[in-house]
Amino acid sequence: MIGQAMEWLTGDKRSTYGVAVTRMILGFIVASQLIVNWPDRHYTWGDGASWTEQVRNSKSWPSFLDLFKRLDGHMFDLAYVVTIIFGLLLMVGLYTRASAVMTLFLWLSLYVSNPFVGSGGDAVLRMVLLYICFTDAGRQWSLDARLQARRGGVKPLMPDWFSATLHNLAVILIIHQVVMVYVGSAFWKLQSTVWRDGTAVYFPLQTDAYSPWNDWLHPVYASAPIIAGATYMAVVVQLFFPVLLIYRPTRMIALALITGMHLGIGIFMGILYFSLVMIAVDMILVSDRSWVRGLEWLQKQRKNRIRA
Amino acid sequence: MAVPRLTLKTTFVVAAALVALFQLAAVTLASLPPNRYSDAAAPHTTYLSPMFTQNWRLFAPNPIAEDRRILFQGSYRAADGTQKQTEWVDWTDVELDLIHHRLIGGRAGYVTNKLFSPLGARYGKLLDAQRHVAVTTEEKDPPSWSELSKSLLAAGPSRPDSTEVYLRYERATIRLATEVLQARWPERTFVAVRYSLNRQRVTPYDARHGSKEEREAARAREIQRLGGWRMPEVGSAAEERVIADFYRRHR
Repeated sequence: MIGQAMEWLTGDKRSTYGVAVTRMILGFIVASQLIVNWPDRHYTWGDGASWTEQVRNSKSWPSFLDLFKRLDGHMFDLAYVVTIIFGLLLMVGLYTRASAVMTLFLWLSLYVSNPFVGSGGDAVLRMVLLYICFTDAGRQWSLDARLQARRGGVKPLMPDWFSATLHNLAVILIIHQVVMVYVGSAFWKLQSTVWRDGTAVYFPLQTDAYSPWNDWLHPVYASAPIIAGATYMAVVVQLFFPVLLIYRPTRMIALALITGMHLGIGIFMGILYFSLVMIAVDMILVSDRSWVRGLEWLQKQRKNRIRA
Repeated sequence: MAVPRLTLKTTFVVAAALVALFQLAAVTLASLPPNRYSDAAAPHTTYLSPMFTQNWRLFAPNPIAEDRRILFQGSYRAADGTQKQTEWVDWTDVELDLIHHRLIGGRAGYVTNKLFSPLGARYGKLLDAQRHVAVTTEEKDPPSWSELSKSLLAAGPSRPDSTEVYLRYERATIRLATEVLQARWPERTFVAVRYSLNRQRVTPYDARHGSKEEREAARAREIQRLGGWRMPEVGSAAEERVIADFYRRHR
């Protein structure tokens, strides 16, 4: 058994396609989020966030993350644009590991510059980005992989077992983290009567902050079957998520349900980026075999269309 | 059972696996609601903060069920020499412009939303006598931060830490308040500023089918907590400019 575990850890790199999809979506999230927030960047993270300094300086983040706190005006804008560029490089997988490290550093530096902007999505993003730095995230579906195929392989500095061990352990830690997000949240939910009686989802959907479409969609939000369905679905899927992952068919059902749940939360509660982060991380749970099959199916469809 | 020989490879793999295993255990214990095992392991999981802080309540145990607003008011010297109060500026409402009817809301839309809870919680940790000191300051002659700090400590000398943390959040909020008021009335010179934390429960579940007016009438009354008057706190010119620009675009 120890031998098998050693072989599993040091042999092939696992979930390379899943890690690639997670990498692409996280890179997209970083870049697109900063682009969307460009008009209000100075209020959110720049000069206009300096009023928070009494609070932000009391947090225990290391001082090397003070980059955005120290910059202002055009230098702030330059660092902001550089963060977008590294997010894009991570997305397309060019200089993947360096891009992952730089995206993590810049994103974290931006995050700590305003303690009243961060969310659960940012927390998951930074943890997973840190783990991704240890993976071979550019092995599939990346410009690095294309360039390597064209130019031929370069002899790695470290032996294969070294990078495979780090990659596989990081994949385990990412999967474990996402599972604990769901299970931890489900245990918290079970302690409350509003989650047990099937009405919990109604309440945030009535607030100004978490219901951007309330004036248009109130009849939907007032429907008891819809509210109860969404409430119980959230608890059941999160609570049984690790169990459902064991068998391939139930894993696919769990991933479909949880992706639907995240899209629902993201669109109807106005927290799309949190949802996208969770969807990105969930993609690591789709097996390499499934990604390859999906890709083959897509290629077949494309060929059929060209022939037709 | 075959045990691999001790080599550089096995040593590295075992060490890395042990580190990962420790992280798995720490994350598991820290992410669950308080229980005896998590409590016992707490001294060994402090390293998780801040990078790996585990807080996955996600609208649990009780989802947010109230609207929370932070409003600012200033006291200024009028042309006739008297001191007058401005109307309240609802800064949360200004920020909500970034969220309403937007598929992808702006991150700045939630700043006061996220400030609301810790600001209220820090005030809540003061002793009764300290709270009295904090809210009964004079509009005509608000205390400096060192005077306020001394008065708070004199009212509750056993809680220096909670006083310091309260003042940190208070000072940040007053700085935002000053800049917002200055953006709204740039021609006025403010003598004192204060904030108000307003909260109102949403329409009860059983009243959800009523008309818009009936649903609004079914809501509990808004609860207001008034902060004390403070001396205006000004940041840099760039900071003022950015907040004035934000106000102009989203009011």
